[in-house]
Amino acid sequence: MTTIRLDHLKKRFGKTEVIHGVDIDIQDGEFIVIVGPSGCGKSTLLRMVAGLETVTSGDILINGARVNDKEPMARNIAMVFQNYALYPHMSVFDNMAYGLKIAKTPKAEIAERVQATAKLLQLDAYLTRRPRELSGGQRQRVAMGRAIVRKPDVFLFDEPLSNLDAKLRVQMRLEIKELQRNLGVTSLYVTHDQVEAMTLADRMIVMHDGVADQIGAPLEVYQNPKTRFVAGFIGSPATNFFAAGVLTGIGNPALTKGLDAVAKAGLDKAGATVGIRPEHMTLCAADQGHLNLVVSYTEALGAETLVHARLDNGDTITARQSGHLDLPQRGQRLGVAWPNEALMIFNQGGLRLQA
Amino acid sequence: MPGMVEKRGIGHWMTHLGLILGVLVIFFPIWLAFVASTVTQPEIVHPPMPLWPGDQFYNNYRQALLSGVNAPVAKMLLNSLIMALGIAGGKILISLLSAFAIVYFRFPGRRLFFWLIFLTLMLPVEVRIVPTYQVIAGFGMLNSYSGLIFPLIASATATFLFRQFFMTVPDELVEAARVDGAGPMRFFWDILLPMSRTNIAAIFVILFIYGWNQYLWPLLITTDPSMNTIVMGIKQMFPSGDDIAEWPVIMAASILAMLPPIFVVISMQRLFIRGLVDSEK
Repeated sequence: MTTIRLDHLKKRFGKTEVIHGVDIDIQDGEFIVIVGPSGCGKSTLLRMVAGLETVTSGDILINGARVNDKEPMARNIAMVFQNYALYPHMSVFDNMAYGLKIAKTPKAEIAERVQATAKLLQLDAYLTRRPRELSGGQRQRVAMGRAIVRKPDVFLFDEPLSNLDAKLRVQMRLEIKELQRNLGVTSLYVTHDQVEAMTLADRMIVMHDGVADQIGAPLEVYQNPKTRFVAGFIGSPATNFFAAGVLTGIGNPALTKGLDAVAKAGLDKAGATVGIRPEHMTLCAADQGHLNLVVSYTEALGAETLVHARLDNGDTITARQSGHLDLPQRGQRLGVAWPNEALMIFNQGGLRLQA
Repeated sequence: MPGMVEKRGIGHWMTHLGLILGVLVIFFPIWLAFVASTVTQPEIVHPPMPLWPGDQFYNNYRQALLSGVNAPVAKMLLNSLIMALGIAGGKILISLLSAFAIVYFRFPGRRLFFWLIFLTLMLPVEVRIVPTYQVIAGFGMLNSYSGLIFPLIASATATFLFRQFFMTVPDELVEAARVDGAGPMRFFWDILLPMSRTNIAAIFVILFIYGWNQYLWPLLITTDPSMNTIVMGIKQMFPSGDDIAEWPVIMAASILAMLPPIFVVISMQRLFIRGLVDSEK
């Protein structure tokens, strides 16, 4: 049973504040993914939980106990690093056993636990090898084995898959998910890859410039982004954004229903934006949709086609359509429509205006 | 393409010819020394000098090793060995620890200390030799191994090299060790030291030869012939006044003096290369 609570956690490097106060209650066994672009503070947040960075203000509580000033070891956490950080001069066995050896675990128990973990990760054949004699995926497994063998309260993953090739990444992603589910260990996982975030997370924290923009289950975040940043960051291809004025100007009452209040408050003039996901856009004949566009190029991916186009005002948008539909021609003039509920409106500060 | 083969052929032979000539030029004095150590005294002083070894090898070397001129060469070799090992070992130990402190610990004046150590690089032994002599004499360390070793132990060069190496060790490794619960000294012994072994081997070679070849310092502080080191001892073998130089013995001592550094270089070279192949950062 391990719960983690971050309470107004802040971090400052010199005068620059990089994390502006993060709050979250993590349940036992929960898989939390911290996702965000580079420099958003996600790794720093993880390293604070690990005890590798000091806490500027706020509290970290593991099982209700404040651990701010405790060494990583005393927090009973295990961490998987981006570059694996395996000890190059030690065999796989010694790499995995090192933490237990320091904790003065009896030798027989170390051997037994390392063997069991190696078996779990299909590493039993490689125990005598050095890390450099292993492939990337195997090193990754050793790094995870080193974490698992200690039976920690918390797993911390710092972009563990970013050094693997695409195919291996998918495979390891599934393995990590399965392992975590079987072991039931509370986990924090940092990544910049939204696919990893969507597939692994029970809940995810979308970080942006040191702020947790949104915390929630992956689908909830996807369907109901709270900020313009989240709407743009989660989902691929990214959400189309354009100025609210583009829509209020066209005077279609059905379309501007949600925008009425915005227009009334003058927010469209103040820089409010609307966002529509590519998959919600439907192409139709020119003047039949809400807006007109000119196709600039298409990407046919087989099952789906991405249509990149330019609006009359010069904004570029991307629409996604099923692969069996006809490919629009380059330079073709088309209309685009969407269901009204697909419209997301954000104020000039990027906050979502309507739910 | 025949033209290319021919071109490469000529270059090939010229390169080898040049290298062989170079080796001969460098090797010739050593060969002469070896020849001189295997003949009798009269054969050396009567020109022309012999170019091929004589039959006195065993006698000359036995005389050099066991009785020498002022002190047996065996004793001087031992002195040199102790001094060189002491300097190399001591320097490595101290440099490892100070580089560890400078790289991994944040203490007030860290940079200042680093630059102070770095500054001493600019002061060769000769510059500080008088005050050093006074200090050593004051401690009563003249004619002792500690007197030979201690003044030469502090090394900015090795500290600097280890610092550079430690800075290339990924931070994640330090952090992984911390997460595993290793304290600083544990990290030093279990991880940093084994990872540094190739560097240690390389620095050991350099420092051993540095210690072995010390001349001025042993000359100053060892007045007792039985404490002479071999490199300065050879000089002491030259006669003062009208005595006859025993060239065969002196040459035998010279040849003997060359052997330990050669042995160290060759044996450490193996370790050095194996270390390079074995390790990975």
